[in-house]
Amino acid sequence: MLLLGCDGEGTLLDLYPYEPIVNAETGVFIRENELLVARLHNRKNVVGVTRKGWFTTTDYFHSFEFEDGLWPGEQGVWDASHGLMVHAVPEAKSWRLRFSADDGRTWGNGHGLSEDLSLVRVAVGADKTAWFLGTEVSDGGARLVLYRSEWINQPLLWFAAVGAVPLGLGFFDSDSGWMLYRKPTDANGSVRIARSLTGGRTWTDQSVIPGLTDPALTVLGAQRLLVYGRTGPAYLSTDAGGSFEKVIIANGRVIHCLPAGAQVVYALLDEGIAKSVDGGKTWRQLPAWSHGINVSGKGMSFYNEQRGIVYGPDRLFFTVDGGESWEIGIYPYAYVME
Amino acid sequence: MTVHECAKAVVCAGMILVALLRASAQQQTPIYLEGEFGVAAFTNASVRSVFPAGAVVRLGAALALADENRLRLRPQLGATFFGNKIDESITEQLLFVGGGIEVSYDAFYVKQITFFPYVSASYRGVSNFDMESYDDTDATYSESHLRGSGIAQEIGLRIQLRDWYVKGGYQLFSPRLQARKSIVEDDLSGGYVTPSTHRFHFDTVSLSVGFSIRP
Repeated sequence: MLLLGCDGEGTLLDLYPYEPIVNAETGVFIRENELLVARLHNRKNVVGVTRKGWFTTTDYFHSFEFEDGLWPGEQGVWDASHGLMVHAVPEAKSWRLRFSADDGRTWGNGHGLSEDLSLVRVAVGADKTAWFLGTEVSDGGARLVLYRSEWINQPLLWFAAVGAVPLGLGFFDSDSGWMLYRKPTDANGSVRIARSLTGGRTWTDQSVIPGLTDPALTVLGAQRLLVYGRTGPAYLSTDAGGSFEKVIIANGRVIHCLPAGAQVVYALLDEGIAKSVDGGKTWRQLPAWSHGINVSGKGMSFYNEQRGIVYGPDRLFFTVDGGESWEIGIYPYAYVME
Repeated sequence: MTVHECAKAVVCAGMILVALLRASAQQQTPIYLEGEFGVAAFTNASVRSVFPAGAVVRLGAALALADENRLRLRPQLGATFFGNKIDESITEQLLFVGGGIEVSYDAFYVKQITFFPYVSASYRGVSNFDMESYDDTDATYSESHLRGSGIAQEIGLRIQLRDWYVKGGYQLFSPRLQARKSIVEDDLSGGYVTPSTHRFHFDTVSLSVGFSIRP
């Protein structure tokens, strides 16, 4: 009887090996905290900002550095590109502008923007130039305004248009860029595309796309532009916005599109990732899951065509093979959140 | 393999042995019916902490062959069982069941005691499961948590006095076990990667008593 039921310690299954998928220490990013922005700088170096501090890792979170630093107030409106992160923080009576040249580790305060401005979009271009697109309400009514600043210098009113509603903005370089806007008299869902070759000082209407709700644009090249409704079809222009052809990215909602190479473009969907290898003409939905978890998030960053990350407030995924397979860097598993 | 399947295997083995003995009754080669029962313990401390001790049972028909019948060749079937009482009603079980062959040699004797060094090799299936019982008569068995198979090799010495013997051996056994799919899936949903198979080191030392009779 003794042999039939010796009191052992634990069970045999306890001796069966298992490995945590993510480093439990990454809980510092998402436990009473959230991931706001992350960038993949080279093959393995991810740098980012959480609501409570800055982090960097060179081995996909097997180890990392984390420095405390509170993200001020609301998330605000921000953009990061060309080595510059620009953050417009909504405050009681103005927009406070913050600039970081080291991916959010340290910040310098710039001049503010008027409380009358309803900010829609921040865009960072080459030469550390930042544009701020929004609507300004004054006695004369509402008008579209575009401010421009160089580094932390005082933003200057660069362009204004009465009776226009700003929707989106993107620059290819410090001179050429595109703006999406709408006029109150336009048919519901129509989006106008204007182009500037003067650094945003002057704009010329290019074309109109009907039926886009919650539109956004991604600049793919000097002449190539992708305009997409977050819940509808997408339109590709290869002649700088003069004309567009309709393309299908995915059936679901498109959160964000990002070029990762001369012809490679990724689209972050509400359910998965899509990829184009012909400059946005045709798209294929990628097998975007890892260890039974669907790859999802709010933003993405690609170092090259093959290596990139997708992240959300409580997760981060990475790929090293162009999105064909994914691994998890951060995820709210129970052992991470404890 | 469940306990019921094990019982079926032992019954089948018995029938084969009886058939062997009958077939050999008209031949010159002596055949001995041998059976043994004993205890076993894992040499690996981690495994031994889960299963401190187990029971061994073997049954075989030994053919006395060359060198004046001093060489014994024994096809055999056997089972090794380990139990780990988890609580009053649940006992974790680890069962090895299989068959193979044992070769022993009547090396020398002292008075009436004969010494048989032996080696054996056997194929063994492994199953790890739970037995749940709330009284002594009604038991239910879970699906196997881990299962697999491997080749076991054993070396030892048998000391025989007339029809009875004592046997001590060391067995090398490192089967590769596979975790139940639902375990792997549950681990995955919890954020852990579990390999589909893992090699366990189930080396044991055993001591048993047995009989060897010529029908």
